[in-house]
Amino acid sequence: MTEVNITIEDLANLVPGQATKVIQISGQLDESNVDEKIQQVYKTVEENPKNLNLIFDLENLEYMNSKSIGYLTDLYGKITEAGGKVVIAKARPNILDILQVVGLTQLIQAFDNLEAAKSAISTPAKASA
Amino acid sequence: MFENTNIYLLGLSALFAAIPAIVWFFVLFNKEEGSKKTVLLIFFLGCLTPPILLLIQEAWQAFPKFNLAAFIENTVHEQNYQYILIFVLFGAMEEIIKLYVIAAVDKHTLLIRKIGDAIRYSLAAALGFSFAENIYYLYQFWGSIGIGELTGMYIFRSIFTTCAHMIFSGIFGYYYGIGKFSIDITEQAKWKGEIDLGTKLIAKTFNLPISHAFKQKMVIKGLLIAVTIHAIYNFLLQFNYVPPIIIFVILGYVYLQYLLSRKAGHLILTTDISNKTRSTIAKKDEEVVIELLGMWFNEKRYVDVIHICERLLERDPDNNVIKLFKAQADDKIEDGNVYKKILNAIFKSSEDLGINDKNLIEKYVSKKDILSKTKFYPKSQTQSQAQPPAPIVEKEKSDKQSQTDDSFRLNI
Repeated sequence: MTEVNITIEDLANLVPGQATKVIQISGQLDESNVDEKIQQVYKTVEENPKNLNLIFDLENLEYMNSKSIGYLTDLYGKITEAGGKVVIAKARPNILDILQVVGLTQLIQAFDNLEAAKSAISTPAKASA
Repeated sequence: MFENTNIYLLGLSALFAAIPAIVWFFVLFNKEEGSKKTVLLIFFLGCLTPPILLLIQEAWQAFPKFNLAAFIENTVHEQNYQYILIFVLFGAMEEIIKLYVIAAVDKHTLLIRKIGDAIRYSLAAALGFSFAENIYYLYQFWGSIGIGELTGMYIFRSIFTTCAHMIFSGIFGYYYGIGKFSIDITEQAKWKGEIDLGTKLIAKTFNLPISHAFKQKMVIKGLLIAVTIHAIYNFLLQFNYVPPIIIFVILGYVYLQYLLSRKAGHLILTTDISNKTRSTIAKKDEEVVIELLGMWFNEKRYVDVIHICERLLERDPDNNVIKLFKAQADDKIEDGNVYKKILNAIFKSSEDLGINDKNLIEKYVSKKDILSKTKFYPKSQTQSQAQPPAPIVEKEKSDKQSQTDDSFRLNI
């Protein structure tokens, strides 16, 4: 099994009244580990059924397979439908490249630092004309 | 063989046989793009195939040891089985020789550049075959049967037999075309997890690469289907079952038009390596996305597949696997295809097509657009509080607008 580590940090006071978590993923998410490891994230979603905000810190994520992208899309759907937000921080160029081609960056904003990602979570969405 | 040939009668037969050939040629190829000269060449080569079959039968007379028809007649005594085997034999001979014309020309020239080409040229060869066969039948029966019977035979052969020949050959041509592009098609099938047991078995038995085994399988499958329907047609004809023949030919024609209308069949799959545009996405990253295409295609997320393919083709324009995914997804959501509607109505095959909840990215992007148009800031917020940071992709997008190098273009 390829090595991957997922840690979940709680940012309790970022948005008052809402749970905000930073999901740090390091290593390689592939067929051998993705189904098992992603359950940690799903568990967090289950524990916070409403208004959950997730920041995916992908600084140390070297590789993600197609299934991981599928899970990310699914998580985005679940969280936004329950009034939460999802953003990505510090993704490596290869990861960002994949997400852009897939079209996920149309949905999930990606930032090059954690502060910007936190700021995006705490700022209300911008209205368009 | 030719000593008693009545040249005037032969000319007259050719003249009459030419009428349906010209009409069919007009119907099938008039609106086609590309050179008509090549189609005509294949048509004329197709005209040579019935005389070759006649020569083979002449040779059987000279060398009875090799007479396969006589072998069947002497071995199988039950009449219906005998008919079936004879029809299978002649069906196979006719189909092989018609397709041989295409395969031989394709071997020396770049005749077939897309799957649709293989179908079209097969139709041209079949039309040539049928034209020559009609001359033979008119010549044979002129004067020996009544004018009414001759006219009936002429009309029937002109419409139904000619069309039937094109159906047999068109279907064989379709499978031959798929086989020809087996490398790209098996590569795509691999990502969809669709390499079937038969292909694996052929590959293992004959120690062939998967793409080569798939090619052999497609040619054999095409031949078997063509020969089977050819034998069924001849069997129905033998017993004058006219209504089933008419239904059979109409359905076959609709199926053929459906195959011709498929977008995947219009893809140019031959690639000039020297002109190939280099991909601007890393191979490993591209493989992740193609794997996702296979996964979402199987989940019927065709709209998402098309959008991803469009973005990916901007980065790797000559990738045939991506082109195939896009064309097949296009075909799947194409609901205005009249031939598909007819076939679905008859065979009651309905598929959940079109934009639906399965296309998650498409669904969420649409939803996000609607939300962003209806959401407004609370009045109490200041401008600085309301301004969210710009995400990397948007920053890159604006940066790139000022760059001259567009090797990293994204369609966001």
